[in-house]
Amino acid sequence: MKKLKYIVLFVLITLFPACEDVVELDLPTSPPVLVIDAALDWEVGTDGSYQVIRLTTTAPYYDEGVPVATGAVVHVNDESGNTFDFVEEIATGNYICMDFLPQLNEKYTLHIQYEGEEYIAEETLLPTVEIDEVKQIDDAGFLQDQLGIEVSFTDPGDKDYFYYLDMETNIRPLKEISVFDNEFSKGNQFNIDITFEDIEVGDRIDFKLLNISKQYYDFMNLLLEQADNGNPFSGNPAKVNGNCYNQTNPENRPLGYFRVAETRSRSIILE
Amino acid sequence: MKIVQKALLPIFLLLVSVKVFSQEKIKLKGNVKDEKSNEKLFAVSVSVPTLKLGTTTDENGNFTLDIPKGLHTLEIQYLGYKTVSKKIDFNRNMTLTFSLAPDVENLGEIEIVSKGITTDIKKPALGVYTIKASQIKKIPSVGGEPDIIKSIQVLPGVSNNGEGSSGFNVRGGAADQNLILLDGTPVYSDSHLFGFFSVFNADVVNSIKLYKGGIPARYGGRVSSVLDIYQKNGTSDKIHATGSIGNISSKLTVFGPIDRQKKLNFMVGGRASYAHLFLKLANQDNIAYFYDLNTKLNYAINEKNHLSLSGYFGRDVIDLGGSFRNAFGNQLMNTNWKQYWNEKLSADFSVHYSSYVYNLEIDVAEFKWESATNNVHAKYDFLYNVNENLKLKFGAYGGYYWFNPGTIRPNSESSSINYRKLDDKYAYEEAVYLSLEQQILPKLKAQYGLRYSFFQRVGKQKQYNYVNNMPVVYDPVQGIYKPGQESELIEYTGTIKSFSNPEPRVALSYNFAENKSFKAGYNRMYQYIHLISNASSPTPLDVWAPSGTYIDPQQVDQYSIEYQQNFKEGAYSLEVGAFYKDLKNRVDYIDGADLIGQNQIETQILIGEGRAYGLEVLFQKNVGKWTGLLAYTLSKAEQRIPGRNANEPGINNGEWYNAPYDKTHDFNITASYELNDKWSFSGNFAFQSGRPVTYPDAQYEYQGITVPNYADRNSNRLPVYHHLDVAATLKPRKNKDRKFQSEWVFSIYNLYGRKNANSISFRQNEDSLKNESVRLSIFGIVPSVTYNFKF
Repeated sequence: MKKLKYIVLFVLITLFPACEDVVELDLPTSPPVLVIDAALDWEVGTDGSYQVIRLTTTAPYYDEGVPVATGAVVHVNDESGNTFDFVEEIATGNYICMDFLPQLNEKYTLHIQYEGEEYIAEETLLPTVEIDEVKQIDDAGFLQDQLGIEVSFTDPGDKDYFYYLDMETNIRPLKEISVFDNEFSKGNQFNIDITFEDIEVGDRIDFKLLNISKQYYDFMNLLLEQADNGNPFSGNPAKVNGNCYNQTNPENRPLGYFRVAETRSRSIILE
Repeated sequence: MKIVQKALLPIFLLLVSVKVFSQEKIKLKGNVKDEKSNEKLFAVSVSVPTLKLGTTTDENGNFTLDIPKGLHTLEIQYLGYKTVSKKIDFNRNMTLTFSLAPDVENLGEIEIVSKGITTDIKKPALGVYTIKASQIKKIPSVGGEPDIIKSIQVLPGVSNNGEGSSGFNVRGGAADQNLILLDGTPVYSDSHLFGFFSVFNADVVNSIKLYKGGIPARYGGRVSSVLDIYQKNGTSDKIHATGSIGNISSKLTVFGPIDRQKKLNFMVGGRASYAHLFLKLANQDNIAYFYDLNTKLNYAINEKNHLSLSGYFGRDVIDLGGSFRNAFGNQLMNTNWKQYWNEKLSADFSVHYSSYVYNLEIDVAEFKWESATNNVHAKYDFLYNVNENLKLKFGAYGGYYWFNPGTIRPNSESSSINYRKLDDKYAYEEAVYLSLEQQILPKLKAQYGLRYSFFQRVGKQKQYNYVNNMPVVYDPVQGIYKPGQESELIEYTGTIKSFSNPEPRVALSYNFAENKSFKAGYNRMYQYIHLISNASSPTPLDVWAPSGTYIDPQQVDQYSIEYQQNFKEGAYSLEVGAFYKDLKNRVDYIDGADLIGQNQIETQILIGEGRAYGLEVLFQKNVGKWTGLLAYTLSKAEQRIPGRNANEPGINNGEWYNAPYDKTHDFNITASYELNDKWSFSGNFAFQSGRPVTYPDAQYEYQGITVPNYADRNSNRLPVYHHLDVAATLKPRKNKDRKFQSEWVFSIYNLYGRKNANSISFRQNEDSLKNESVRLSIFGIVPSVTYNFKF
C-alpha cells in the first residue's frame, strides 16, 4: 500500500500548473563501494545452468556509466555440497557460470573475494506461481484507455506472498520493475495490466514474473522508490542495504542483492 | 529597492537614543459592547489619534490605556459599527463603558491608528501576535485570495516548506505541533489543494492570534504554537454582505439580524474555486476544486448570557474522468455559552466537534479507501478579576478522540481487493488549569500558571506485544531497521495506557522605561496526538495517531526572552527575541517506512529528541502612507535518533541532524503604500534558506536500472527560496457616496518568475539514459484580478 500514497499524491501534484526542469547541482561524492548484481534466475522449462553475476562499483551521480569490478573471485554453494564457480569475463564485470544447478527451496550461499575483502550472501530459491492467462486488452493504464496486456495469476492465499514483475518493450530503452504483495488481496486472482506510453499494434511487451522473499521485496520496494524518486511527497530517501555482507570490514557495506528465483517469462506482440 | 531602504533606515536609528517626553499619565480602563445585544466586543480598536496612542480590547471587551493628562479625543472603532469619537478630560484614573451602534456605511476595513500587527508591550506575552483580517488582506497572495496561513509566515519564527506545501512551522516545530483553533475548535487540516489556499476564508475571519512562545495555561495539546482564529459575528441592524469575484475563486458572506428584538444574528460565508482552476486539466471530464462554508449564529439571551453556534464545512474534490475520485476536508461545530456573572467573574462554556475525513476511489486499483480523525470536547473557562493587579483564569477541559486510520473496500464484485479495516483507535484527553496575571511591581507584570493534562488510550482495540518489547529491531547483517517479532496479540477493552503531566507556564514583562520592555518566559507542554507522515510537509492522506504503549507524548520545554521598544509614540516598533526549545519523544521514521494502510505504526518508527534555537527580529512601521514590517529569523532545528543500544546506529549514526523544516535564514519584508483614496499598493518579499533534503552522493546499477545512492538524511539543502509579490488596489471614487462599496485588486505573485524548488528528484532520463536532477517548481508568475464588494 505504500505506493498508494505516491500514486495519489503524484496524480494530484500533476494537476498544478507546475513546471519541471533539469538543474545541475553541486552534489557530494563518496568513495566507491562494491555493487553486487547477482540474480540467478531459473526460467521454468530450462535447466538454468547458465548464470551471470555482475560486479561494478558506485560512481559519482552525474558520471556516465559505472566502473566494473574486476579481479574478483566468485562462487556459489548449495546445501548439498555443490560449488559453482563464476569465471570472470575479462574487463566486463561479468562473472559466468555454465553448470549451475537450480533446485526449488534450496538455500544458496554466494562468496566473493574482492580487493582483499570477503563478501557473503544467502538466499533460498522460491517457486513462482503459475500464470493463469495473458490477454491483450485496450483499457490498460491509469485512465483505462490504452492498449496493453493483462496478466492473470492466482495468489495461493495461505500466507504472505511477494511478487516481482520485470517489464520491457521494444519501444523504450528503459525497463520497468514493479514489486507488490498480497496484503490486501490474499487468495484472489491478480489481474495486472502492463502497458507503455504510446504503445501500438505490432510493438512487443516482455515480462518476467517472480515470487520473491519478504526481504527482497522490502529491498526492491525501497530501491525502486530511490530510482524513481519523482515526487515531493516521498519519504526520506535512503541508502538501500541488500543481503550481501562484508565479513572482513562490515563498515564497507556492499550494495546490490543476491537473489535466486524461479521465473515465468512471456513475450507478447500486440495485434 | 526603495522599500528596503525606507524600512531598513530605522534599524540603524536604533543605535541612536530616543528622546522620550515624560508626562504625567492617567490610567483609562474601559469596556466595549454591542449597543443592542450587549455582547462584549473583541479586538476593538481604542485610540487617541492626536497622541498616536492605541490598543485593542480583549476577549471580554476590556482594555486599558495610559494617557497623558489633559483634554483628548478618544476614538473607538470596530468593523461594522459606528465609530465613537469623544472628547474627554483625562484628569484622573477612570473606567468607562462604550456601547457601539452597528453601522451600515462602514462595514469594510477601518482605519486604525496602529496598522501593524499588534503586540502589547506591557503584557507578559512573548511571541504573541494579533493580526486583523484587514492586515492579512494587504499581503499579496496566489490568485488574489487572502490567506491566513501564508500571512503569518511573514512573521519571524514562522515558515513553511514553500509553494505547494501545506502546514506551517513555528520556531523549528513540525506542522502537527501547531494547535489551530477556529472559534475554539481544533482544525486538523489547514489547507486546500496542498497549500494552494488555506481553509480559512478571510472574509469571515475577524482576527487571529498567534502564540509561538509564552503560551498561556489555557491552551494545551500541541507543543509548538497556538493559532487562535475568531470568526466574525453577525450584525444586528440589517443585512450586510461582503464578497469577491476572482479568476480562481469567489466568495460571499452575509451578515444580519434574524428577529425583531435583535437578539439573534447570523453570519454565513461560502467560498468556492472553479473547476478549471488547474490549467493542465484541459479535459472537461476532469475536475478539481474546493469549497467551504462558514456559519455563525449569535443569541443574546439577556444582559448576562450569550449563546453562539458556529460551524465550518469544507471539501476538496478531485475527479479524473470518473476513474479517480478523491474528496477530503474538515467539518467543525462549536457551541459557546458566555456568562457574565458579575463585574469580576465571567465564564465561557463550549462544546466542540471536529472531524477530518479522507475518501479515495481508484478504478484501476479496484478499491475505495477512507480514513478519518474525529474529536469531541467540552471546555469551561473562567475569568476572575480579583483586583486591579490580579486576574485569574482557570478552567477544565475534557475530550474524546476516535481515529479511523483506514478502511479499504473492493469497489466492484470483480475487484481483486479484499475488505480490510485497520484498527480504530480511541482516547480521552482532559486538563485543568489555573493561570494568574499579576502586576507584581509597578513595572513588573507576570503571567504564570499550571496546566495539568491527562490522556488515556482506551480499547476496544487489539494490539501486539513484541519479543523483548521491541516493535522495531535492527538487523546488523543487512544494516537496516525492520519490524520486530510479534509475541502475542492482546485484546484491550479498558485503558491501554494512561499519561498525566504537569505543564508549568511562566512569563514576565519588565516595563523598565516608557515604551520599552524586557520579557522572559518558560513553558512546558505535552502533545498526545501525532500526525504520522514522513513527507516533508503534511499531505491529505496523513492520519493522526494517539499516544499509547509505543508512542509517548511529545514534551517540549521552551525558554524565551524578548526585548520590545516602541518609537515615536508607537509609529515604529521593534521586537528582538531569542528562544531555545528542548523536545522529547519526537518520532522519526525508519528508512523505507511503510505508513499507508499500516496497522502497526510502532514497527515503522524510532523515537528520539529534538532541539531548536534562534534569534528573531521584527521591525514595524505602523503609521503613515507607508506601513509595513521587516522580519528576520536566524535559527536551527535539529533532531537526534540514537540507537537504543551499542549495536544500533539510530538515524545518521545517532548524530544530530537537520529537522526537515530547519531554515537557517528566513527574511521577509512586507510593505504597503497608500497613494491616495483611490490607489494603494502592497508588496511582499520573502527570502529563505532552502529546506534540508537528502541528495545522492553516488550512483550504481542494479538489474539494468540506475539507482542514486543517498547520503545521510537531511544533510543537503534545496536552493535558496525567494519571491516577490505585488498588489495594487483600486477603490472607485464613487464609493464615497453610496452604501455599495467595491474595489479591484490586481496582484502578481512571484513577480520575477523565480522557479523555487518544491523538490528535486533524481532519475534517469528515459531517452538519453543519463542521470539528471529535476527541479519541480509549482508557480511561475501568477497574475490575478479580484473584485471585492460589500454593502
